[in-house]
Amino acid sequence: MSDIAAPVPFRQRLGDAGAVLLGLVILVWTLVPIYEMILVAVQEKEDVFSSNVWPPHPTIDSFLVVFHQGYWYLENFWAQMGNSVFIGAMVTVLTLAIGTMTSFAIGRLRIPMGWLLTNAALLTYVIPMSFLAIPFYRIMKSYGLADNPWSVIAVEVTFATPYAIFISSNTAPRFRASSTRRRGSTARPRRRSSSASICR
Amino acid sequence: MLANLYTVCTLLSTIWTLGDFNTVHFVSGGGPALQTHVLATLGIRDAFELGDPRMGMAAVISALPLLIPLVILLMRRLAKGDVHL
Repeated sequence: MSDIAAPVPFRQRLGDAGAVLLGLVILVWTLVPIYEMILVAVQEKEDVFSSNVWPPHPTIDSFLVVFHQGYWYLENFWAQMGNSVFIGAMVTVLTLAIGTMTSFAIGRLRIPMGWLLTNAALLTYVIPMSFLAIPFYRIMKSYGLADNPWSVIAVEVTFATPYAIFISSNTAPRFRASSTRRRGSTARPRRRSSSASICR
Repeated sequence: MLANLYTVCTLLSTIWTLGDFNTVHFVSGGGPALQTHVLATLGIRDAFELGDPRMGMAAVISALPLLIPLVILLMRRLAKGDVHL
């Protein structure tokens, strides 16, 4: 047996080099917008629209002004940060609760054409939000919620729930398996998976 | 299998691009002289900037005859079950 590795064919090396080059291009393509965000934030105001690749005088003054609410239209920054956190947390909790319970019910009840129900829920997900902005505004206005964070939460949950139901429905067989065993049924679950054991 | 995947990706991309608001609003703002508006930005402009929700909704709804068949096609493709969003 020889320890000498067989030489890599030229075409394979060329293919590998091409793949690496393509990967680098995609990496730069992905990272440039993030770099631009940071670049804009740390530049002087007059340099923002310049073609600088590197900021000539990098500064974190803009961050200090924002965090200390040091400008008249930033005086509610921390309240707005609180709004963002509150809305994000509420939307997550409500979407998870509604999505998992609905998909569990669809999975357990074995509704005929249940797939149609979960896919139909996606209809609202694929209709662009910008198209529904006007009717949502009208609805929230008529409910008196136009100046309330709960209007945003309601709209976000409406959009996020169908996708949550759709994704959760893919795990419904695991719910079925675990619940059958918990009730002490002698019937074996149709499918046992490692996830079912974890659920139990 | 790949054909179905490509179809779903193409349909989703088309549907979302049809309703894309952010890119147009923040890049060109619909200008110059309203020449680069798309239906989503035009609808929002009519409804909220000009204060005429009827015109805005009419502009947006005019996309639905194109959008709904695409969504139905997408649903049928997803129902085949080998592609998940």
